[in-house]
Amino acid sequence: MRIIITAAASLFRLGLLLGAMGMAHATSLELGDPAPPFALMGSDGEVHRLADYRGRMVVLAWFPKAFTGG
Amino acid sequence: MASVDDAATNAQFAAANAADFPILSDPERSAARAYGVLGEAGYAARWTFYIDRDGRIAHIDKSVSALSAGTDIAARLEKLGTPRVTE
Repeated sequence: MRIIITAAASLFRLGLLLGAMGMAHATSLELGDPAPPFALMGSDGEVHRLADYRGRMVVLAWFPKAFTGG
Repeated sequence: MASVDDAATNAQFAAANAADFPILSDPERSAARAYGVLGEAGYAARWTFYIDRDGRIAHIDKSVSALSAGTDIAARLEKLGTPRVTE
């Protein structure tokens, strides 16, 4: 019985873990959606707002961490 | 480009790579969260968003190769019919 309960608890934890992983990308933008506005400091010392680029194509390339291979 | 690194780190990173585009910093992670790229460890996923002239999502590349990202972006822009603009 104890084994079954342990197994069930493990499955429950796995479920929580998978649920949490799903949450990591809970916000899912679809094609055609308005791009979320942002105002972020750039490496050029200027704040870049998405709104400032209206009328131009913007490429927003996210990467995990500087100095770790791009 | 954008990451959750602070502005000073990304300024150094841009200089080290002679980047000819601004690297944006989102240490608060608000934009990363809004774009759905923030992972469990608190870092952004390597996803590239193409935002059209009207501010709408035109394409999302979720399988970005760090090695060929530059040429891949150029090819995608061509596919999206974006005229080359030099700035």
